[in-house]
Amino acid sequence: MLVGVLVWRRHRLLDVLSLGRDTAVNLGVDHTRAAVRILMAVSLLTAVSTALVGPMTFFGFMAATLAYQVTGRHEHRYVLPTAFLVGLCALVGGQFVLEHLLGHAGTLSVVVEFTGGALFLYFLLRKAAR
Amino acid sequence: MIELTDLTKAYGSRTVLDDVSLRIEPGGVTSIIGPNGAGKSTMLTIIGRLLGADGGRVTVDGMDVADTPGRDMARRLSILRQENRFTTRLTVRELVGFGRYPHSRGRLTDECRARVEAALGFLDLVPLADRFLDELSGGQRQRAYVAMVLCQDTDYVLLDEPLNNLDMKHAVSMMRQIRRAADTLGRTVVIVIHDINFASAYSDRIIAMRDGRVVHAGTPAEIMTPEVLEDVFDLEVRVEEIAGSRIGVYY
Repeated sequence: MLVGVLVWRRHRLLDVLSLGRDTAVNLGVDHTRAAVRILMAVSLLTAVSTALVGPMTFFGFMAATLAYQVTGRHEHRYVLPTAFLVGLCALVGGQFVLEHLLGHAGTLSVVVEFTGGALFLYFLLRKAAR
Repeated sequence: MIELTDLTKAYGSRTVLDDVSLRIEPGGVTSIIGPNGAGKSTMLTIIGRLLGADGGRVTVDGMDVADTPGRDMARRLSILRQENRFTTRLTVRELVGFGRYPHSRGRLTDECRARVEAALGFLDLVPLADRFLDELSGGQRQRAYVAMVLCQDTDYVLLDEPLNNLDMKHAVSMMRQIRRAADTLGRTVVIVIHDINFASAYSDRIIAMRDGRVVHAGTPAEIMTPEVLEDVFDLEVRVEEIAGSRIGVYY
């Protein structure tokens, strides 16, 4: 939670980093330091979430992609909280559906991997088609 | 003033900059010309601190570009490379707003917004301000990038081949806007350019490079002579004075 807030507080820096290294350096960002810090934060976040809910390969991709789609914007101030909410809804909602409507008919991670993987393939193929 | 002292750079065993020492005085437009592989872009990229040198140093107003804090440097010198492909989808106004980052850290103040509008106006981008970059033509996009670096409000502006992929009309208007940035905004503009005639007609000084060295430097009148141009490009060039500019004919 704390790390997430810390990352979100740097959303303007993330916006600049998303322009690429050269532009970020031109705008006065110490690119190497920023990249190392963000990678450290990301590893920490990944480690904690994996410890809590178990490994899900495509879940992060799914949450991020849906967040970009839902907001229709690139600014991290909108994308980050949206991705957080999407992730939360998918996990809690999915668990709820499985437990109460389908009577424990399967495990959530399988469903998430399937839909996330399908989404990943879809985007991959769409990019290749362009 | 930009000062280069004994600057060297090699990619593997190939030397691209060979002990270059050079001064670029403040004010006006300085063009860097020379054949492909002469080291023009490499030199500009090192001055703009996007690339480290193997030896020697570059100072801008006495500050070493390699160890001055990025933010301080970003308020004094800006650089635009040739290839700019962003993965994020931005409008022109958002892109130009990024130019204010060194000053405001992304929190745009009223003054920033005024500067953004001024930069948009300066490059005739007001009607396009809310369009996305991927909806623009190459020339319009190039103008938007230049607006971003002008909006950064730096004394020194480095542009790597700003005329790349522009047709005649857009190339002329880009050069006029660069000239105007130097004349009315008082910026020191340094450009890498391929067309010697554009360099001749629009710049105050020309730096000619070949094989990683600066071989000639001077005013357009000094550089635009058959002897100098043949020495730089290894090509016979006839030079004629047309409408007040010295024009090289080499086709």
